[in-house]
Amino acid sequence: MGKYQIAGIKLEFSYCFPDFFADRITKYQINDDDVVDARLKVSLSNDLKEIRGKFKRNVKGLNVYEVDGKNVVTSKNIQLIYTDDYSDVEIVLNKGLGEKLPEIEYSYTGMYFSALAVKRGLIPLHASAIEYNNQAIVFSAPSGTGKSTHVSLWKRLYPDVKIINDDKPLIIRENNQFYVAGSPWSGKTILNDNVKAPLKTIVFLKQSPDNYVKELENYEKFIELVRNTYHPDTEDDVRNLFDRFDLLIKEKMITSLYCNMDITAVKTIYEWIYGEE
Amino acid sequence: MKIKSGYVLREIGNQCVVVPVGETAISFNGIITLNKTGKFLWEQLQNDVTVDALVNAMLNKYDVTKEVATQDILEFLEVLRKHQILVEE
Repeated sequence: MGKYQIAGIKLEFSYCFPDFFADRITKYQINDDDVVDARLKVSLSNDLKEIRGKFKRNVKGLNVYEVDGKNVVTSKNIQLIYTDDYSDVEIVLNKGLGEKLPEIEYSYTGMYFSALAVKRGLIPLHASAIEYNNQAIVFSAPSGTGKSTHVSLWKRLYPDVKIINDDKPLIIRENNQFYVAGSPWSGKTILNDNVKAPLKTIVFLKQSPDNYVKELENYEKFIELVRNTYHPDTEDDVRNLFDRFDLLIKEKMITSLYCNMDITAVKTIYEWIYGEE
Repeated sequence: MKIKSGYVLREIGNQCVVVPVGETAISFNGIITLNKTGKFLWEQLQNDVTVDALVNAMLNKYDVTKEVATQDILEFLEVLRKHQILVEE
């Protein structure tokens, strides 16, 4: 168990498997006597039993019950016990999952950190984020589009480029400005850093034989943001998240890049961002 | 008939975007875009209404013939049925 500060959120986090976390999370460690915003605990069980209380709702075929003021939902392999604001989350995993356990722990804790982040006003984006010239450039797209490949081309052309997070960076609003922060949840690679940089631009990547920038209408920017973020499960949270999208669209450069895996893809978007300088 | 609960409608410029609530997947494709007429019909369908009532509402609001309005409405309802977001008794 340890205490970590991730994208400004102070989290007491206890995980079972060091496979994914050991190399990633130490950069985020804070003092043991720090007061935390939230607690996230993973444990294992040989005998996962459904705990029933007052029925609250059904989510994707599973019943959510209220037990001692917390939400409890149980599936065959996973039990989640959480407060409405996600400030206290316990994930119990079926030991029978065997060698898959470390990866399942990693992906579930990442999902619940995204849920917590949205509750606290952050925007988790499915993206690869880099720092260049002390500013953050965010390349967003669904898995398999080639985010990491595109970012590796940036690194080749501009060795100063630092990777903030290669899978799920967080966009933060602070002092009336948007910043991009890293987190230990960075997908298959361990490319992540505990840094925060002002957001320069968000680029939605599309696979294409040729490289060109296609400007987006505001509603298209909105749809891209919706498609590549975490979806909260209450209407209020969705509305709050969409208010943040409106502000992002109003204040920041957002576009789409149709690109292949050639280095000219980087030159194309670089020129769009920085002009002919 | 009416629209199921659990959708959030946002207006962005001349377009409207409707997003379902409660999907926890990080990538989601069930987004519907609506034009001004679509938005109008969507709002009418927040209450239980008949096709006739929709046609009348549209004739009151827009300068269209009954035939065109009916055609538009039936097409719109078909889209809603395809997305399984219409509750019909």
